[in-house]
Amino acid sequence: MYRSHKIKIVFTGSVGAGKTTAISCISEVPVLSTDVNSSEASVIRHKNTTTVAMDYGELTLEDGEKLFLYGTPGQRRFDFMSTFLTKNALGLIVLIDNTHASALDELDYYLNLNADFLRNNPAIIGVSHFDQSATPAIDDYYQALSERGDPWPVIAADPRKADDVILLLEMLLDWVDFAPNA
Amino acid sequence: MNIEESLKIKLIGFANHEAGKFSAILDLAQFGLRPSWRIVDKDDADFFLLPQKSSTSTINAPAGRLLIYGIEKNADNPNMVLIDPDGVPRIHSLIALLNRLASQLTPLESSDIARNAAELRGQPESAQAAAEAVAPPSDPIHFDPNQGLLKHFLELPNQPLVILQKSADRQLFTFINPDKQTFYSQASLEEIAAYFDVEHNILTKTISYDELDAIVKKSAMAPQLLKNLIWHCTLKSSQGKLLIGHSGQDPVQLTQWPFLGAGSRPYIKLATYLKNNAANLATAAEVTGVAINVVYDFYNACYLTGIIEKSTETDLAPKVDNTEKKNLLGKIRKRLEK
Repeated sequence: MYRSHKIKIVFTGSVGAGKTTAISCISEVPVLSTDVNSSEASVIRHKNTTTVAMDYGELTLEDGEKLFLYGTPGQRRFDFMSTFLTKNALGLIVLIDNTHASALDELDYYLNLNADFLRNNPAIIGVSHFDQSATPAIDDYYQALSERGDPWPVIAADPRKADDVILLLEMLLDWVDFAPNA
Repeated sequence: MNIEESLKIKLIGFANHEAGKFSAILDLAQFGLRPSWRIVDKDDADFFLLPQKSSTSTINAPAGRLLIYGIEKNADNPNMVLIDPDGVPRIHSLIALLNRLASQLTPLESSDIARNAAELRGQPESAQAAAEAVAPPSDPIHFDPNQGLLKHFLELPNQPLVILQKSADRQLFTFINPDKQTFYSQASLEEIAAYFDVEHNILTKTISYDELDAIVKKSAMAPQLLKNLIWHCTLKSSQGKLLIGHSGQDPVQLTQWPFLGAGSRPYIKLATYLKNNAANLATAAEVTGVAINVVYDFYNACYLTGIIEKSTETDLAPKVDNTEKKNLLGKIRKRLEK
């Protein structure tokens, strides 16, 4: 099944949450991404540019197979790209910037946006910028997920740290391994 | 002077509110004082404490027994009790000063800690010493949480609790709010974790909620979840032994995700497996590849934080056997480990 499609994992989440940074942190190749000047207020707070289409990075497995890492665009007007990017992906890493004025609403938004994909595939929630803002707390994220009926694990993760990004990926693989798939 | 008695200090020229603040902080500081100190009204005090603005000329006592109470250090008198602009004595400098003065009068005794603890808790000295001294686990096979620091976290009183952990070179204060199930400490969880073993003397005292509020406000410590402290403490204390009274053969399942952070890779695997499957601990170890002693530590921490429960039966997540997928996941894991 996996051989007829690209092996991929998709990073999504709010603007400035660290999608491009996370992929850059572990990709073997320089991350290909297209940046434009930020137009959304939520972006300007953190950055002058943001990804317009997608980020692309890769890791080479033994036998030469590739694991592709895709990052979805941050701005809302490119949300339609998510459906294409997540098709046949192993799972979704949802990064949420904890300094966002309504971080839990952002979580809600990205889980809703990818609801179809998540019906049969896993997500891991990574909360970034936790060092700058410790609220909402991780328990608040679990509360929000519980209210939605979603089972996903939540972890504070710094997208600048390779260990944290790898941990997110390993958690995703654990879910694929141990959760129901029938 | 008899070293087995408390040292006595008399307050001179203090307004009622100043005396109240000093008394409250001295009470809290008892944990770190060797020997203990008490406020007296009589002139046979060992030391006399005066506000900085007072004149010492009328006090009939050797200069070395006069302590000054003020905001700014006085080069002429090293025996200063420093206070903050609100008039609250700084607890750590108070402890350092009083212990220094005590050591100049009497030699330090290793049993002083037990004596202080006995006075604070109103228990016979021998019983207190036996309770708080180094005690090897009575059961070499099972983990008993009712010992050491964990015991205090699990058996909270109705009032806030102050816990002092003392070692040869350090002392650590932890303040617990049982109502909100939070704790306060100036140390990180990792630093506190280093003090979880029973070899450190542990002294406790209850305080009022007002006193806790005053301490928290003064120190600007942020509240942290007590369950996270219990989690860390249990992982550190379990040492690979299963909780007493529990069986590794009973199926269990996680009801909530545990406290996960960097460095907890095996726990994440176990959490993912037991969140999706009701299985016994031996099966969890076999499927995840995590050593059984680590599984026991994880289970103990989950149980004591109330996030795992026994299941009536084993219930494994329905899986379609997919060898190709398993191989792929293995290859990705291998690549990520590089």
